[in-house]
Order: sequence, then structure tokens, then C-alpha cells
Amino acid sequence: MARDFQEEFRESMNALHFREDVKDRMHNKLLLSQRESAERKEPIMKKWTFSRAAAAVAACIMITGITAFAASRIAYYTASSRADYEYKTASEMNTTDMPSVPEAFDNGFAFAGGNDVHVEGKDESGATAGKWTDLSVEYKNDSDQTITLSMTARPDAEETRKATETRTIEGFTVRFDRDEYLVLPDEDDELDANTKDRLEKDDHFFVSYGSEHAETVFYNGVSFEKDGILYYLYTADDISSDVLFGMAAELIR
Amino acid sequence: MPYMDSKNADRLIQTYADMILRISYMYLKQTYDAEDICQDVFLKLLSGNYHFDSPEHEKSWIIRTTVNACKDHLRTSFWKRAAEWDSVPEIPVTPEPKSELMDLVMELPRNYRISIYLHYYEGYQVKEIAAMFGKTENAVSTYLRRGRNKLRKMMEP
Repeated sequence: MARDFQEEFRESMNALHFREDVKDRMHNKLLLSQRESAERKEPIMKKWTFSRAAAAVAACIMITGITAFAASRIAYYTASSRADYEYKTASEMNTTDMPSVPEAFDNGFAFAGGNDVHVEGKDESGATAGKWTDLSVEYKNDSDQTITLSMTARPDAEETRKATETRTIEGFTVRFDRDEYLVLPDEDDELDANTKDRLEKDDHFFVSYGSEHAETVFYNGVSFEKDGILYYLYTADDISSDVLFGMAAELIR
Repeated sequence: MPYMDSKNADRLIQTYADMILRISYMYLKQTYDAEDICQDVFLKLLSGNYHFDSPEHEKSWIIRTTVNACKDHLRTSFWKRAAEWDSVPEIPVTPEPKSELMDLVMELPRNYRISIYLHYYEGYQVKEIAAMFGKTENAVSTYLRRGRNKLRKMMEP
């Protein structure tokens, strides 16, 4: 390949580097992870960052308390949680001021495990603009199907899409969303016209990448707000909206 | 002595963070997730009991783990759905390299981009790239050859 290609390519790559303050932040986070893990004798926490947009639809969970930083506006979130279950029973989770979670639902889905999720809202400069602890709860049935319950006091988020279905239960509006993901192996494959058209028009259809072969994955979820908390029950298993609406009804009552 | 003491953390970040950023950019075509990818890789190193025979061995592990972390990131796109906001402030990200050449390189398929990066920037030979990812030398040679040919065609006036 021409020498000038290599030189120009190297020049472009050399220009791509983290700022020193970002490296300092990574350095501190790594040492904190090491220290926290050693002190609590717990597995290393995975820390991840996701955009505010993603956080609005992601599973964030119960609020134990929010530290208000009124002057700043949250631009994105960071969160950390253990990879294994932190709570082995619902009663372990129901020991604080949080709304209680059931040990089991009438339909046979029983508490499988729960986790703390430590969330920080960051403003544009990366400073902390809000901090709270959420919880995530998994329920399983005898067929090993899984439904995740998450609850969050969303500061300013709102689902703007039209729901697949809406029901009113005990005066609460419960929405059901069925989202379809077309997962493709390679982002460089051209999408066909139909797929592109659907992406434009169907806000319950998404394309993502990373599978070995093209596959379609469906997520069903119901959500509602009660007493300032957004409840969200969702699953990737073949579970009907009726089942999820039924579970929502139990939570409302 | 913990693997991740202050001195070692500093060494790993200064030696590899920018490389992880570049690989993430070549793989994901954006720099937004690079800090997460970096943290994933270093946390994996921290939580596993890894021993490397040489700096080259360590670097090779970091490259492979970075590519795997990028693949995982793509798979978890459920968490990355965009909701609509009235106004969303810009999230600070590492600026992407801006050049006509980079625009063309980023149009290439992912395997070509990664191979071109490892060969022309990191200096790895075909045999080494193939061994790193469990591919045949022929496959890697093909990625490089086709990548070069496509770039030549795209650069033609």
C-alpha cells in the first residue's frame, strides 16, 4: 500500500486518544473497584455508562433516596451492579423505605434474585448531578422463563412512543409494548428496502448487530407509574401481554 | 499484591487505553462507548488471574479482549434504544479523527478495518493477526487485499 496511505492513516490514528482527565478518571475508577472489592470481599463490579436516552427505556429500579443537585441537568447515567444476585429473597430486599416486591406472583413466577444498581446522573461536564440506588428483580417460573421487574423514579423521562396496547387497571394506565429486534451479524451488510422502511415507520422495530446469524428477538414489557415510581415488567421469553398485565395488576393492588 | 495497584493501573492506562479507544472506534465506528470498553477490559484483567509471559502476550490479550468487548457492546443494543427527548444536551465524547482517508476506511467492512488497523498501525504481520483471532492466514490476507483494493477504487478520481 502506498507509503502516503500508511502515513496518513497513522497520523489519523495518532490524533485519536483519550484526554488526560478521562485517563485520570479511569485510573481512579479502577483503583476504587479494586479497593471496594477487597473491602467487601465481593466480585468486581462492572461499571457501565449509558446515554440518558437508553436509560429511559432501560431497567432502572427502586429508589432508596435521591441526592438532589438542583443546579445541574442530567445528561447521562453511569451505573454499577454485581453480575450475580445480591438478594436471594424478596424479604431481603423489602427492608428499607422502598416499595415492597412480591415473593411470588399468582401465575407462578417466583423471586429468583435481585441486585442493587448504583446509578449516578452526570451533567455535560461529567460532574455528578444526581445519585441513587435502584434495584433489579428477576422472577422465574417452573419452565425457567424469566421476567424482570424494575422500578425507578425517573426524573424527567417520558415514553413518547405509541403503546402496542393500553389498559386501565384500578385507575392506573398500564401500557404494553412489544418490541422487535432484528439482530444481524455485520453492520456493514446493506439493509434491504423493507427493513429500512420499517425502521423509519415502526417505532417498535429496531436493528442491532452482533449475532452469529441473523435472528429476530422480541421483548414484551408492561409499564405504569404509581406514587412517583415507574414500574416496568419485561421479558424476552414467549410470555403474553395478558400474563404481564396480570402481574402489573398484582403490583398495583 | 493486587494486580491493580496504582502503579500498574497507571501503566496499563498509559500503555493501552488509547489503543483500546482506536480499536473500539474501528469496530464500533464511534468513540462514545470507548471509555466503557476500556473499563470492561481492565476490569476483566483485574478480576481474572492472568499471567503474561511477555509484554507482547499481554498486548495480544488486550487486543482480543477489546474486540470481544466491542462485540458484547453490540449485542446489548437493547439497552441502547433511543427515546425521544425534547432537548438532549450533547454528551462529551472523545473526538473522532476527521479526514477524507478515515471516512473511506470507515466505509470498509469491519473485518477489513480491524485488519488494516492491526497491520498498518500496530505493525502486526498477517500470521500474527490470524493467530490472535483464530482465523486462517488466507482470511486475513484476503481482508487486507480486498481492503486495499476497495480503498484504491474509492480514492480514484
